[in-house]
Formats: sequence, structure tokens, C-alpha cells
Amino acid sequence: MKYQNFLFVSGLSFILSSLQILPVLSLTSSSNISGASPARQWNWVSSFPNQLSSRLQAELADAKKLGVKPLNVQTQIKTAAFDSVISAGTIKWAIDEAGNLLIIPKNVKGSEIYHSVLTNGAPVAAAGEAEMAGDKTNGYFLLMISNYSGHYKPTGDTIDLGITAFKKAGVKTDSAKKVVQDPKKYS
Amino acid sequence: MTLSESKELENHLLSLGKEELAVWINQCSQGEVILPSGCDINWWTGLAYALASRSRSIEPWDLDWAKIAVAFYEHLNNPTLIESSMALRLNLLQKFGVQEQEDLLNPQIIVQWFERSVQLLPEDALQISQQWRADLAAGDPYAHISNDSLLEIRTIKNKLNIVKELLSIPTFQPTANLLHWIEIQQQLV
Repeated sequence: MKYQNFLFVSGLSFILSSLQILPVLSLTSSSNISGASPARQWNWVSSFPNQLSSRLQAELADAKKLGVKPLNVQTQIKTAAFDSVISAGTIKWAIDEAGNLLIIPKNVKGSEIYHSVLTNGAPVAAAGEAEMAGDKTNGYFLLMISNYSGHYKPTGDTIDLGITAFKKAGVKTDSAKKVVQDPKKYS
Repeated sequence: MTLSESKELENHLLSLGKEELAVWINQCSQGEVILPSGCDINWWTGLAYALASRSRSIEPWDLDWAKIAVAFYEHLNNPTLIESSMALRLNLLQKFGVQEQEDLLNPQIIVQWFERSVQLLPEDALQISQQWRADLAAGDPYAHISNDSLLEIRTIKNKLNIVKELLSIPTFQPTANLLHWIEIQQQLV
């Protein structure tokens, strides 16, 4: 029965992925009353492809040359590498198709690092820029979050996915300033 | 599937040559172009980046394409786009060196971008940063310093990430004030 469910979900994911609609693991899933393992919930969200893919290989090579590797916030928070990236300045963030929240520094040695580096150019469920302060001893605070990304052009409503993901990883988001880019505002 | 009007415009603009694009962005700056819906900051960022990529696609880099890319980055006067423009200007300076008669290769443009926007003294920025860290350690990070103040400090720090790289360019002469900012950058929040 479990195998049948797996086939159903996998098949559905494939069909919806081809339509650029992705199921991502709910970022707000909560434990059930008995305290057993959290129930998986699926949120249905849009997928945003890299719209500037022609220079992808050069972007990846430049990032590699500068020693930039994406950090997975859920698993690498409270590490020295994480503290170093968030304290250096603006970060770029994205949620990949598997629901991972990834970050990179926006600038290294004066060179801009692009969102495509976060997922090797793969589509994202959400992306933008953010400012974060704090450290592993005293906690982390999201100061600002936006959906700025010329590569993926995510819609404004995806910012909430980012906020939820940072919060779930342990970042305090209550005071964060939301900067929303919405094409509808420029009509 | 039909393309959105903004995507159609993007494709059209990317099919134009340098001279035609320079005329278009100039007309845009004069308010003579009516843009379709969808031309938001992400649209401008993508377009400017595509044009900047052209300038760097072959050796030696093409300064004419870079000029057009800078014009696109700076058209909206949006802080995020301007920062990308300054990063491009820095990369060009690192590549070609200083030529002060050439706007694109004049480091003072980057210095002025930093100095014009900074309303705080270095000592004040340091004090705010130290206060926030003390409050953070005491468990109440917003006791004295607001989120907006932290973002003001962070904006300075971000700009310094670009400005400090000017020091690697031969012939660049920083002022004492600029050097002081660069020295304290790592202590800012």
C-alpha cells in the first residue's frame, strides 16, 4: 500500500512538475497531538525556472573560483560557515524543488554571485535576498527579506514561503521588513 | 502559450543593437516610453544582467555594452539595482584600470555613491552595532536599536563590500574618512 502511495505521489509530482506546479513538503507541518512524527502536508506552489540560463556555466565557474558553496539553512545553521555568510552582508536565498532553504552571499570580493548558483540553475519554488544578524550563541534575526531575483523573477506571494522556511529553521522573523516586488504594481 | 507583454518587450530589446538600445533607454529616461505591466525591478535586473553579460562575453570586454548595462541598472534609481551597477563598475575598473575621463572607469563614482548615502559618522555606526550586540547577549536585541537602524548599518556594510575592493586598484587614492570606514567594516552588524 505504501509503495502504491509512493507511485501515486511520484507520478503526480512528475505530471505537475511538467506543468511547473510543484508539491513541496509543507514548511508549516506540525507534530500531531500524541507527539509522534509530524504528518507530511503538501503545499501546491508554482515553480520558477532560471530565465537567464545562457551564462549558467560561467556563473557556476565564477562562484567556484570565489569558493562559494550554497549552505542548507536547515542543516548548516549554527555553524561557523553560516555565521560568516550572514554577517558578511546581504544573502541570496532560494527554496529548491525538494523544499530545501539555501543561501549564498550576494557579493564576494566585489563580485556579485547569482541566484542560479543556489540550485545549479534548477527551478525554484521561491527566491530573493535577505539581511540576517545574530550568531549561534545568541540566535538569529531576519532583518529584511525580498523576492528580488532577475534570474527567477518569483512572484511577491512567495516571500511568505521564505519567511516560513527561515522561521522553521530557527530564525526569528517577527521584526523582518518585507520588500515585495510585484509586477502588478508596475502596470 | 502567449508571451506576456513584458517578456515580448524583453525579447525585442535583446534583439536590438547597441545604438538602438542606447536610444531606447534614453527615451525611457525622458519618459517617452510607455512600459507594459510586468516591468518590475526583477524585469529590469534580468535585462541589465543580460546586457552586462554581453559586455563580458568575449575578450577584451566591450565597454559600449557595459555602458548600456549600467544605464539599464541605474534607470529606476533603485538601491538594489544601483548596487549591482556599482559591482559591474568595480569589475570594469579591476579589468581596465582607472581612466578618469571615462565615466565608467572613474572610481569616484563608486566613492560618491557610498559617501552620498551615509548619514552616520563611523563612531555612531560602531556604537549602534556595539549596543545591539550587548542587547542581543542580554536576550533583548531590540531593547534600544530598531530594525530600521540595523538595516541602515547593514546598508553601509554592504556598500563597503564593494568600496573596499577599490583599494586593490593601482592609482586609487582613498580619503582618510573612507579608509576609516573600511577599517571598521567588520565590526558593524
